[in-house]
Amino acid sequence: MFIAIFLILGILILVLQTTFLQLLPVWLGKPDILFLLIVHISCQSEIFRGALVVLLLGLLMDVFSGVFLGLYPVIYLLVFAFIKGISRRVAINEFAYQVPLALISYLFVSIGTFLFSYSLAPDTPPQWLWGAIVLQLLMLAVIGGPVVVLFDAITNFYRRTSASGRLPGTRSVNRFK
Amino acid sequence: MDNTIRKRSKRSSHLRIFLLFGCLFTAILILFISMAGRKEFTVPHKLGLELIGPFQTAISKVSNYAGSVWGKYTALLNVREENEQLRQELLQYKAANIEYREAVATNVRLQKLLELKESLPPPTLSAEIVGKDPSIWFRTFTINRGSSDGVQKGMPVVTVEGVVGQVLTSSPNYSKVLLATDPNSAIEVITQNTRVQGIVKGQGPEAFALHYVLKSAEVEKGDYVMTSGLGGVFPKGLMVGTISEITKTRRGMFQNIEIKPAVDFSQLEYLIIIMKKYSLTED
Repeated sequence: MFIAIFLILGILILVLQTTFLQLLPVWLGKPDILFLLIVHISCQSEIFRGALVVLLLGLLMDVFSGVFLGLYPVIYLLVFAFIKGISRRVAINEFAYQVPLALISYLFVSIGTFLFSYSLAPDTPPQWLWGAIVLQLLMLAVIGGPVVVLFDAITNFYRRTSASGRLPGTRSVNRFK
Repeated sequence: MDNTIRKRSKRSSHLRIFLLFGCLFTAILILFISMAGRKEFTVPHKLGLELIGPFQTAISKVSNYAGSVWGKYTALLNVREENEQLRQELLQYKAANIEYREAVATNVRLQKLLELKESLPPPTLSAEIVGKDPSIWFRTFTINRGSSDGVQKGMPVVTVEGVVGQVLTSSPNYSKVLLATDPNSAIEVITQNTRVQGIVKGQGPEAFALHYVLKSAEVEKGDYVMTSGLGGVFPKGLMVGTISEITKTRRGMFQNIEIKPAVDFSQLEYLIIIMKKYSLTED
């Protein structure tokens, strides 16, 4: 159920990003809402289901974006592992941390995409576009709050409706005991 | 005796009163009779008019004002309804106008595409863009034609203005097109006037770079850059862009040449896929 909900949500966002959001003017940028979803899943989900959803969304992203197949699954799984690694030591699962975490992760993803693309096709290296990256970070910072609230609402809805009452594998409220 | 005198005096006073009223009545009667049949106001008329006139004026003004306000209010109600109706009509006309303009614009675009299609070596296939790459790193489009339509990897994709890119992958009904502005794209080109050859690669969202042009080669700013047909992918003679900037650095063998694309990649809607990799000069 968890996989289906977030996979459908991811597909909807992907369709939105490849169609409707492309109508936004260039100077405004095109927000990467799917990336916010990846960060949210990484923060909120149990490790195996989360990794599976992230992998599937990465494969889907490969279909609609980029030249090198496999790039997005690898990048997204690295983000997932990065966030899971941090969440073991720091309480980043809270709502307030998700947007800053998404911004930091996006910067890492940009570096990763650049390096992967460069290593896969050294003859045609990609351009490091500071302007586009900063614009994307700003967009994520602006829309991050409301979008994460929406994702939280969906996650909470799932938790309420699921039989266990909370996502399997997620920690209890008192995680520091 | 006294009683008789009192009675007489009482009678005489009654008589005086009767006489007074009689005179007054007679005078009034004479007055009315004298007024009957006249058209001009007499003094009492004028007096009455002068007394009542100011009140009449005041009340009239107030009532007129109130009437005016009420009239305006009722008119406003009608105008509001009329305004709403007119707004609805305006919206309908606007929508119709937009549809009409869109239809005309689509017609013009499709006509141009048809003209281009006829000028290209057959077979060609028209396609519509259904999705664009959301990433800032890559530039690809998804189009509504796939392998079931005969679309294969490497087929050139063009539009009326010039080269758009080439098919990267395809599924039965959809294909992914790698735009010429993507850094991974490379097109063999030739300048129109000076006949200098090179390879155009994507550089940023809306720019090309012309590579491998020796410093000794003559290139002009504003010269048109066309496909040379040497790569075997694009037919010869398709418009790629215009040289916008030429810089020669001290180091290196080649010039740095920027090209302004002929195609506005942000405005693309319909495309043409060239199904055969023939040169335009062949056939």
